[in-house]
Amino acid sequence: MRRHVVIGVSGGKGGSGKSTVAVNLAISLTRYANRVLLVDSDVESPVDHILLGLERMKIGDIEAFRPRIIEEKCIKCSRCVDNCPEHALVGLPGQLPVLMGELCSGCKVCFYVCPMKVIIEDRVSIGSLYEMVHENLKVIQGELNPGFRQYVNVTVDTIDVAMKLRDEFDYIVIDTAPGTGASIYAALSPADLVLAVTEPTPLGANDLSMLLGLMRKMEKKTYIVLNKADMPGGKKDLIYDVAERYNTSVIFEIPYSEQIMQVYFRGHMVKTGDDGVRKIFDDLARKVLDFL
Amino acid sequence: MPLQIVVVSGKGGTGKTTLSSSLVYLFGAQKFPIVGIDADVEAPDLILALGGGKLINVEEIYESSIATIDYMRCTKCMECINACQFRAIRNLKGYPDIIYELCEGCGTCAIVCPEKVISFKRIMTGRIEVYQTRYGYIVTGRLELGRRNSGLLVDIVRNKARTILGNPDNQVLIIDAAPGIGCPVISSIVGTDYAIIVSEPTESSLNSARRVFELIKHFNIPTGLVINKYDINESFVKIIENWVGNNGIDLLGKIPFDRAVPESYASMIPLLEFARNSSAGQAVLRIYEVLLEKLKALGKLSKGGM
Repeated sequence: MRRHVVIGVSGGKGGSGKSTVAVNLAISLTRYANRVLLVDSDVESPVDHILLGLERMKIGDIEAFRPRIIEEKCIKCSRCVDNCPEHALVGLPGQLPVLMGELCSGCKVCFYVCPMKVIIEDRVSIGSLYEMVHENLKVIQGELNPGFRQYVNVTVDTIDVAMKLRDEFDYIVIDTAPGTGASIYAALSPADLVLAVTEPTPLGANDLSMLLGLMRKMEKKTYIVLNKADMPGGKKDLIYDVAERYNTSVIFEIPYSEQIMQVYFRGHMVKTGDDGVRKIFDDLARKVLDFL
Repeated sequence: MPLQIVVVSGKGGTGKTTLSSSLVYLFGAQKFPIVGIDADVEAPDLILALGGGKLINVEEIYESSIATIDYMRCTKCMECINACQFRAIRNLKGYPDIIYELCEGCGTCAIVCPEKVISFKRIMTGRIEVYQTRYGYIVTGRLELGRRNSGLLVDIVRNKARTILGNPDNQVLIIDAAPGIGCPVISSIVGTDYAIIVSEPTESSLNSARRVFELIKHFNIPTGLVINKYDINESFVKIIENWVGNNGIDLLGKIPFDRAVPESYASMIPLLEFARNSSAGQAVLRIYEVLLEKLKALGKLSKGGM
């Protein structure tokens, strides 16, 4: 059986070019492999379907536990209220507990502490899963429903669903959210190699060093892709300094190009032909394959 | 009560920090008592956009807890793995293993454990840093790498920021939120007086703006929108303007693409100091004026600075 390779695309800062790199890397990899899976795990702001210009199909809901109290059987002991870590259940002893749904994390403590077993399991949809297919590229995308706080759960479940398909693919590219918290940890856990996409500014360098700190903690092999390398006023040295500090290197520079921006705006990357933009990302794909 | 303005975007990199730092600069220049709050606790950059400052206080916040298992007494029944709703416990070679980054510290596993061998320890959520700058105070949250509880840290940062100046009249708090619509963004939006969405003229940016607006609507907060780099894709501007008009959102203004913006933050000087007369600088000044008008019309701002 052939082994699949998982490539994480992250970077710390928002808008550094993660999705552009992830989407185009996945398209370019389809030229070197039979089947490629792209996972859009930026569940708060998933846009890979827009960048690809593909119609997405909903394949399921991501759910969380929600308590339902059988009121007539509740003895109003307030054990659930006292134990709820989010203070989502309120009420005094002798009163029927009231659920503040928007605070509930779905942890299920109330269900387990209720001595009368009159809290039953309800499920609430906190997110959606989507799928897209284009030739030998498949995309799995998770999306948090607005108003729910559980972005980490939705990320974990999206990655879980995608990784269950791992054996069908040669390469799996995981596009992550910005940041350096638990959702990034969850998204990059399965990665064999991480690309940190950044831009040559003090802000890019700061967020990059936070991400590299997290990757060091997770023991992930990480390389830097410098986007908008020659942008006006850019300071490439800052990025090269961070690379040295974290004992890694900048493996690729993407030029600051009007053409890439236009492709980004048009948002139909799968239809981008053999122009300069495709060549840049084909080069990146080959470079990444060299490092594997 | 201080006037609280939150800057959000849905998608990252649309210009939240550029706008937030400019607002801190402008309110500060008009002698409002101003505190800038960096609520992007996973990638805080506001202080950098203002060119740094003097770090006057650092506080370590220990409000997170994680489960630990006493393996000497664990019978490996795996009840805890089945009960955890966050997939934070995995089976590692026959033992239940807590994944610290995913543990909420909720206590479910300890309740279901028949041997009662799971306990909790407090761990650091993150740090709060207070900086003094030439433009005003900046309070920054910095989440521990890989940690959950970002929303909790935002709550603590906002509480801290409110106390710094001793609650003078006319106090203004500018909250630079994280990208997205999740827990830390909800915590940044709750209880604010006005929300500003920063969007670029692209489908992906508008899509994310729509999602964040659903949140703002839920909390009934008056909202304005700024189109950043509007001239890089002018045909899309109309689409955003229509959406803004149909949803009762104030169009605060449009910022052109201007080299002065990346150049200003590459040199770590606020845009309005670096290039006040640049086209982007002038656009930001007009946006500030429009914002003041809107706030006055809403009764949120009674008089000018002191």
